[in-house]
Amino acid sequence: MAEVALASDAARLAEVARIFKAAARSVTLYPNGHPTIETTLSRLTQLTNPPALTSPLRIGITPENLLIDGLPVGKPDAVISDLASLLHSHLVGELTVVPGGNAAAWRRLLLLIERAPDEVRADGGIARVWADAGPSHVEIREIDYAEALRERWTGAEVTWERVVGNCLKGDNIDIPPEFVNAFLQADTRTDAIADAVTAVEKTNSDGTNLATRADTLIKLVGGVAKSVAGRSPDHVEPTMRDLSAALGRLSPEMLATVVQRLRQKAAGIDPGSAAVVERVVEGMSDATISGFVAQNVTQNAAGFAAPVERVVQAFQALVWDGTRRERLVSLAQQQAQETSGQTPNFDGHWRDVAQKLLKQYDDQSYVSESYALELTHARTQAVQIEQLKEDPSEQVEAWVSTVATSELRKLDIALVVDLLTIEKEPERRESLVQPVLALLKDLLMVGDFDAIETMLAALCTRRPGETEASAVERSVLERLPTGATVQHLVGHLATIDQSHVEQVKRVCLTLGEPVVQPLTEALALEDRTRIRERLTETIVGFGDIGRPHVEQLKQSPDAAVRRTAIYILRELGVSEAPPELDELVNPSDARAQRDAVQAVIRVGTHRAYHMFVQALTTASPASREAIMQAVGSPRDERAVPLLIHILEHVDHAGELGWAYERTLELLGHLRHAAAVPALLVVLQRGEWWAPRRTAELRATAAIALGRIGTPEAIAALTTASLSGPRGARKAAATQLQTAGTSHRTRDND
Amino acid sequence: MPDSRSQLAEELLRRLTASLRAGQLYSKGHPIIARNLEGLSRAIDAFHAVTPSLVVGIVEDQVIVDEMPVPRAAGLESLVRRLKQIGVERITIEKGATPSEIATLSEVVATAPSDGNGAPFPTLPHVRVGRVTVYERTERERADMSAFRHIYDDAVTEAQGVLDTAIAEGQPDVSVARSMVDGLAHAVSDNRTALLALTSLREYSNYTFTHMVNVSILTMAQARALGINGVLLREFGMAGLLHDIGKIQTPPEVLNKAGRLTPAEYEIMKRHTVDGAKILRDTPDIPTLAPVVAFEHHLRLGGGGYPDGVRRPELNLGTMLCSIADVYDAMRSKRVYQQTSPTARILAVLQDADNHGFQPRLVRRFTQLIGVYPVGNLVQLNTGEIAVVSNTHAPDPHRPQVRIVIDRRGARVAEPFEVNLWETADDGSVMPEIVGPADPAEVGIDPLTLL
Repeated sequence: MAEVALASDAARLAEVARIFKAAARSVTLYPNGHPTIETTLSRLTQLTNPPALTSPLRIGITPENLLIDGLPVGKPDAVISDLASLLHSHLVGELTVVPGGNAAAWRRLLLLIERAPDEVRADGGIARVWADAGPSHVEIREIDYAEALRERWTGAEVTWERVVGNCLKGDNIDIPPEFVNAFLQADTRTDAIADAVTAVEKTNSDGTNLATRADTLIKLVGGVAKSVAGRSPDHVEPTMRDLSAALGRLSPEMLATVVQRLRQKAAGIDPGSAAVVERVVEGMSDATISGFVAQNVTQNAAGFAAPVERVVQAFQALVWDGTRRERLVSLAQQQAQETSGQTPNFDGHWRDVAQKLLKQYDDQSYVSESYALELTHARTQAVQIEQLKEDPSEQVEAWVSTVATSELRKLDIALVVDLLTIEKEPERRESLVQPVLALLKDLLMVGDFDAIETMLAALCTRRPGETEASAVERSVLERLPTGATVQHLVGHLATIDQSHVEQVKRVCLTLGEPVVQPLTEALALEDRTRIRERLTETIVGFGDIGRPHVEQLKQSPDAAVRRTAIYILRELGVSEAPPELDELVNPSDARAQRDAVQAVIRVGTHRAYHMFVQALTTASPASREAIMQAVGSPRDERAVPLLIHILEHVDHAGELGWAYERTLELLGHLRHAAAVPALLVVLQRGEWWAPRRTAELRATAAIALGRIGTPEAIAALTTASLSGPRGARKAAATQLQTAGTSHRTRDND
Repeated sequence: MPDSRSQLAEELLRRLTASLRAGQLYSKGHPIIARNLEGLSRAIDAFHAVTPSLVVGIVEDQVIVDEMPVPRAAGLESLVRRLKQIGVERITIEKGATPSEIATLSEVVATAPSDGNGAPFPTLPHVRVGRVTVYERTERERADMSAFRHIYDDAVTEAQGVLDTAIAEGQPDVSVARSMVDGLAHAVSDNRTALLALTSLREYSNYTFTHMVNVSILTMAQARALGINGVLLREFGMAGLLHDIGKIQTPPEVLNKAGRLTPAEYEIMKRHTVDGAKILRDTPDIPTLAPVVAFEHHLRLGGGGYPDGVRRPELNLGTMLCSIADVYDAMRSKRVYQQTSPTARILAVLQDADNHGFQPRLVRRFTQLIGVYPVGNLVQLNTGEIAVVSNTHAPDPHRPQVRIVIDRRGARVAEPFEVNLWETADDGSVMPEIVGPADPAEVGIDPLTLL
């Protein structure tokens, strides 16, 4: 059992925590000097001064608990958990209280703790803010999560040995930026490559086996190539060339193993890296390979290098073609002669070596016994497997596809549905609550609404003789609509198409009343138009069932939730009260303003329209703009009466002239026949003292009628073109001509 | 729209969790995965609007986003568990990460093996994953027969532990089961023949545990022959191992009844499929295939079998392979109510069942895999010789490769030699034929020592 703090220490800590919390609350709720603050701070001071506290009290903080001297409180009191959570939200990892603090210092700390963590963090973090405030009896040590999560590559500590070490551990290959830089410059590239290769070879000393080192080298070269490609594709080719040359400096064992691992397509090698290294190997020039052979054979002759067999193995692995082998051996011999031609018995030694180098791969003497066995075994296995594969590949693929991830998902759902059907005894059915609930939550998380509907249908199916929902159904449906579930639903509403929205609505209806409140709360916090519309549709879909829940939310302490509740009630046709004028003109809350405009449209009474015009008249210019924008978005035919009201009650010549003109345009966009008479009035009306404005308004009205395009609208334009005032005739005729053209064009199409 | 960093972080984690889950539950390319990735990309973009580099990390059980701990919320545990399972401590997403990079990240994190021994995370331009798990790839040496026997014996012992835990705690010990199946899967991939030979042992000290292990091996061997490997192969093994776990709830008097079961007892016995599925569905970290196979392994093609009333238009491969292995092993084993069946008869039963409930092609493959005379069995030849089957010959399951151990006169052969019964001898004469299995107890030879 884990060690915990002494009970007496835990009790003292709980007491401190309790007073701390109370004091924190009081300093934020009451003005400075309030008696409650004095009382709580004095109690806190008392508890943290002699005789209650005689030595520093070191409190460690974890997300849910406090620690004394590193030991957690066994069963933490709720107040301890709360304080731990509060302090942890500020990233406080340890708090040391030194006896001697006064009330003023405590108040300063408490005010700091009660600030929003984001805000304190923006000021540099709690430890810094607290330290900047001057010396104190409390020391704060902040948790440095950035340090905890810092990536491995930091400044001067980066070495190729560390990079290779991480490769060996199986870590991801992140080539440090400074190393990548080295590869991008011709003068540093060769050294960088040499360093990397040397680092891999050096791991030999710690007993790492050859295959692992070869895999590491492949991984490393792959990582280098990718990093260089990511930074500068132009440098890939030169880097690959230099890498090819660098392979010639590998030990024969390493080179042979690298080639062998590539050919074997050994498990654990990333195919991408393998492809890169294959290219690098293929890119080894004749000079590189012959140089490799010459150098190693010469060193072997001198007695301080790998056995010739290793060189032969590497050479034969690299070069398959017999003619090329001969050429390269001859080239190697020339190179060797240049450096060691004078050594005794050079010719004899070289003759032996050349003979071995040119031996054919299938010579039994070359293939070791164990390797031969392995080859034989592999061949036998291959034959056996080949013989088994009589089934067409499509057949095998079809079998394997039955256990593809998505199919397994379906099978799992089918299983749970079957269990719901099979289990009849109440106790056994009860045991299905958890799995069904977990599965539904899972499905809601990922948004698989087809599966959710299947599950819910199975869950809610009545058995013969059942008249009401089963205990399982009730239990699942009560526990499913949690905050997290609804948040997932809301999240999906942003990305799903309309057909899925209908599914979401059906799912919500099945979940029933408990989901109304969280949906409404989510709507109150939501800004995205599409999601708001979809949420509204969903909540309204509950009809009278949802109404009491929405009514309750009118009492919410959150103003946004209250407003949303009223908005929904209007949508439900329950509330006919128009919004308050404040809601319409308040520019600080655009969403509330939009909702209020929609409410005016929805309520549709003369009083509501009057309120709107009043708002338009009295609001600030920005607010007016926002109000008019809200009328047209989303496009809603129900706005037509309001727009007609605006035409009738707003002065087209005053400072709202722009709004008047916008109204004409909006009526045209809404294409509703009810707007025709009002538009005709504007078209016919003329003001001789303002000919330009008259012409503009007539043109806009005519365009709106043309857009509406109904027989009534065309008739109105015809009337105006034949019998209206001269300006009206002209505007109407122009529009009729345009309308006629567009009609003809459409007909021809 | 979330605005504060903490809201952005919560939204991001919710989206990440959902995307990973979608990646685990649906096949690549499924629209649900795409939809969740779209949501995740949006959440990442929203975060990148305030910071160019986003780090999601795990420090102990705490999720850190952008250096800030995120309050624990419902559903977040699964994210923490997943990242810990695959040994990831940190994911860094730089501004400019493309949807394709996000998709790769999500796919890799969702599907990496839980033991942290998966392939390295791919290198992406704007996404980095920091792994903390240190593991060593050790080169496995090709094991000899005694090593395989050791693996097999260990597995049987561990199967007992798995079952004991299930009885005591209501759920099997998944970590033990997983490590056991991992070992068997390696062995199956290394040398299927050797392991299959071990399943032919007839002297069982305990039927229940050996049956679990045998079905696991036989299921994996079939799957391996179909080209299945890696995680999926181990899931087949786990499903085979635990297919009968529901029997822990079957009353012992029914389970161990020597005589024929009454209809009522048979109904009770049939419940083990439902109980097994429920136990495994409630067990954390069990692959999805396991409860499905536990539930379906007595269902047959064409609608036969049980659980009653359950129909599947087609059976999945896991269920089909496990069913074949189950029937084969059950028929071959000495049980209180069954006499040992000769190998050929078992296969005849399978062939018979083939017409009714098993996929004929899969049965044919199984026959080829196991051979009419499985490796490790002693057989009597028409020459009077006795041999141990050392290898099957897929084209003709009746003519395997054998190792002669007793000659025509009944004497032990000093140096057993191999004969390919399907071949023609150098002198043109026909090779001997098998006339039937021989009982190791009667002959006094443990055939496995001869492999």
